[in-house]
Amino acid sequence: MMRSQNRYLSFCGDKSWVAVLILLVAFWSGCDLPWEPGPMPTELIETEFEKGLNVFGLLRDDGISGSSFIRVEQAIKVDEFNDTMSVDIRNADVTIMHNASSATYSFQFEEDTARGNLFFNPYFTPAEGETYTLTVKAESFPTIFASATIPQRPGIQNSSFSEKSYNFDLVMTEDTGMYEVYLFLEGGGAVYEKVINDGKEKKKLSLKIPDSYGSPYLLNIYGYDPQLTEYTNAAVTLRWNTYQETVTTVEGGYGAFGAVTVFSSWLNP
Amino acid sequence: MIKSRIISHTIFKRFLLLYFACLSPSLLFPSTISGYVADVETGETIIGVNVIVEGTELGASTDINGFFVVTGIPEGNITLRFSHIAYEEKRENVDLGAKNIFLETVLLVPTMLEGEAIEVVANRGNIIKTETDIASFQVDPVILREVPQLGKDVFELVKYSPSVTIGDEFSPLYNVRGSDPSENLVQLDGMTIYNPQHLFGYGAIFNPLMIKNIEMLVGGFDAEYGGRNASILYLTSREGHQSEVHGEFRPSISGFVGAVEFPAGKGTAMLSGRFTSDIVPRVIMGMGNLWADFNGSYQRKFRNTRIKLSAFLARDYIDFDAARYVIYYDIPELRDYSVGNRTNALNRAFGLRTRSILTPKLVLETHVYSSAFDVDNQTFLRVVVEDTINNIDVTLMNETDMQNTISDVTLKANLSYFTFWDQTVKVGFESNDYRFSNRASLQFTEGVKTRDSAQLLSFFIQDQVQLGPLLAKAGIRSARFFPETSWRTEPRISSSLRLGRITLKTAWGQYRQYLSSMNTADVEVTPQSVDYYYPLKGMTPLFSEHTIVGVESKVSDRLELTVTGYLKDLPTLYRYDFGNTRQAILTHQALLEQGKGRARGVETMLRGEVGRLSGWVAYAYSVAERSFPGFQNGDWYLADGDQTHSFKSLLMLKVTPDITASTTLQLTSGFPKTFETGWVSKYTYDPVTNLMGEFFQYLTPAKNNVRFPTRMFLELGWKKKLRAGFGYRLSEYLGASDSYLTWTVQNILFLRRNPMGYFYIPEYGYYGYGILSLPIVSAGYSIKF
Repeated sequence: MMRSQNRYLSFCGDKSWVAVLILLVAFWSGCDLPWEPGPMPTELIETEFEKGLNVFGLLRDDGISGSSFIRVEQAIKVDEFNDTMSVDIRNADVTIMHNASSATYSFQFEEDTARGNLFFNPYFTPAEGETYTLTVKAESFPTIFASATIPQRPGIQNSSFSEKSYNFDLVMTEDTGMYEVYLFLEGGGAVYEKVINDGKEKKKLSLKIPDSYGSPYLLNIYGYDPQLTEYTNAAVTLRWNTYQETVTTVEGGYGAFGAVTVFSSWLNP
Repeated sequence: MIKSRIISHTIFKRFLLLYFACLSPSLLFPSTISGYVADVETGETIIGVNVIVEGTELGASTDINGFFVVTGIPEGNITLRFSHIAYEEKRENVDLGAKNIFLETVLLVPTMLEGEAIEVVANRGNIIKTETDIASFQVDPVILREVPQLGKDVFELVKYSPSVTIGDEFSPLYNVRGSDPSENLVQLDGMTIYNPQHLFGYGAIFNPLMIKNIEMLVGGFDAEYGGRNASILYLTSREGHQSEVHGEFRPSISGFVGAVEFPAGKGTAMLSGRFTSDIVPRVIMGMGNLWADFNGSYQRKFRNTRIKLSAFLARDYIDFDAARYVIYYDIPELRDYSVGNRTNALNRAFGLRTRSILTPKLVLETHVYSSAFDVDNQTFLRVVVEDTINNIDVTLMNETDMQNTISDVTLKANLSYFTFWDQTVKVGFESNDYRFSNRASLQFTEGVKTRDSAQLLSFFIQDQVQLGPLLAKAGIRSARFFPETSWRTEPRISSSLRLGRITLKTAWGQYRQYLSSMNTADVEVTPQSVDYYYPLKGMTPLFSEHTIVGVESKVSDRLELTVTGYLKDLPTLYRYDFGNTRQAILTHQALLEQGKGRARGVETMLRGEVGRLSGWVAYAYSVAERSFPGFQNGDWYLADGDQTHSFKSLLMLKVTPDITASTTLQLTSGFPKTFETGWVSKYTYDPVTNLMGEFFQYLTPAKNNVRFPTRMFLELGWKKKLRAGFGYRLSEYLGASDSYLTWTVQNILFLRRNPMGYFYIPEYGYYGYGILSLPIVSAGYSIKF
């Protein structure tokens, strides 16, 4: 046994320098330090940055003039990002045309720190069922085009109160992709429900009223057109080095142009 | 006239006699011998024992049940020789006569192996019958004990197969030959286990102390296996010691690993468990964490029937938030920063299996089991960034909540008939009853819980025949996925031709899969660590076609070289389109977009033993691509996990009889990843106030447009049987028979970064970040009794 162990140990002793050499080579191979950027990836597909405007155009049918707005920004390259830069585009030419009459409305930039820097037209009031086309032009950017149709105003039927809930049938129309329902309560709270249009004519809703709040006094239902529904529901991830689809509902750039219509009903429980 | 009639009648009779003789040689040589081979001390059946009929070229080897069948034996007295490297050779005289014999159990005496290499080659000893499993990666689970840097993890081990790639360092999901992770089937004693891994790379949920055999089929598998297209990882658990209580226990500061096997009445039982809860992150970061798994089995042998009851349970819980760690650093920019996940997962299975030797030539197996998996996985990222232009704070948020339940109740049975020409005819059926529950909430979209059910009924028939040096196998599987009315067939053929020391192998087959898993790797904040299962009801099942050609060559008695080439056509694949979330709320199937894929590659593997060195060295070249019509104009792009070149090795050296040194090396191409081209604001809208908000979103026009740098991992391990010292005396005090000390050194190449991702830092550029910045040295202690 002793002799065989000596054989094993001498085997290791004779060949250990080989192992050390291999380890050293492996150890130093591709050595890089933490303060260096590290080995860079290899490009497989040449991918160019597509310059363009990024807009959020919102047509709001709530019976109030000037509640619609458009925000205009630009997309930026990864290496253009820094703490002091601004993506706002303030000198864009923003117009909305009523398709049926070809009437054109020009939107002007207003600096408003409360609402964000937006383009407004105080006299513009969209009408239910009408289609409008947005055009945004800015120097050195492709022009953006998009259309939106104002959905029919939401409606309810068979409403009733019970001790703990407010019940009704939400009437859904084809031109609306999604409804957001708010039941405002005395004391400052609200009950919220989101309803995706599944193609049926009606949907029964029963909004539960929490014990800690007062009676409901106002029901607001907001109907989104399909473009706005798709854009606002699109999944977004902040994971880097990860593919994600950029959902856009405009042509010539990024962003969305859609419409929301408002139904309001004061309640007497 | 009469003379010619007599002559023709005689000739006709002789023809008939010759015809039936050729058709049924068993009529002339009727004997078949079958039986089990087991360890005389433990009673455990032995895999890979050579059984040879002396004086003939007839023989067989024991299968994963320790069962052998030798057919076509001439009647009379014969001697069977049983040989296995770990056991003393045994001879058994059998008086056959014109009958078939079931030997019940032949017992072998183990030998002590001094200074020999640890055997890792599946075909131990001299196998007479060469298997036609062309794409089989089979290893002895002793590797999990001898190579401590594997962490006793089955999935860590299979990563060293040249056929396996991974898509993310922290994801336990793996790809096999260009297929998706959800196309891999993992079975424990025949029970399908869903999500057979602990969360976030904490290893497989199988206790290595209870594993008896590990076999992975990476393509070209038999008609017996269905429901998955890429691979079958088949784990066999130990049966238990028949006469004494034996076990192994490995304590650590974060938990324990243990197993005990013992006689239980007229049968044997085995219990094993693992429990881990890392104390350091719990104390420093308040990170709740728990990884636990328990396994139990009871086996009883009747005269010709063996039954096995198996039960399994695994529980994972993790509550991680990096904000609890960041507070130790004074970084103002990271105020109000939160990223992590909260995950609960429960996995369980229970089954009863029987194996009956109806006659020496006829074996019936039945199996009924229930397997289920639940998970609720919430991931989140929340960062507050100061907008100095508008003097406001901008909150960036990304939240997901995936809930998934799958339940599978299965009844299956198969009948094997061993007949002439070393033929094995196998027929069987499988009935799966599935239940699903799913809910996916992404960012600001609340998901709707959907429940579904489905049934899959499958039948198969398979024939394997040996004609001299040629072994051929043909089978067909037919399945119906209710409530559909159509039956879909999957033909499969394979062959093996032995030419001296070289064996040529081919395989071709079609495979269908009726379950899909949602790939959330691009959506969840933390790496995807579970499959979320959905039934493909009313949709074309996943479909793939494999063509494999290979050559095996015996370089020496204990060294084998294999070269395998494969082509995989994946004409039906699915991709989850998360942009279409409006429909996602209505029905999850609306998320699916059908596409296709393809994969090809060549794998070379040198494995076996040279003196006291054992293990394998492997190289693979592979390409895996995908194409979806509504995605990137339908252009082909590289699949996640594609690795063009990979070099892997796992080597063990028996330094002394008590010391084993090991090394593991991975040198692979980097993964295809997506590099951003820019940023754009993603807008939000509040209808009540008529105000909008926004946060930044990356622009990624092309998927997998860059390849990360080459990955290099080198680790060393050391295992020593204790003969003196505190550890030895402690084990003696505890009544243990042996004690071991292990050392591992991981991330030896710590000066080389393996980037996991790239941040873009303004005015600096891209910075590649990785983990494992320093070598990790760890030690372990275990006792056996």
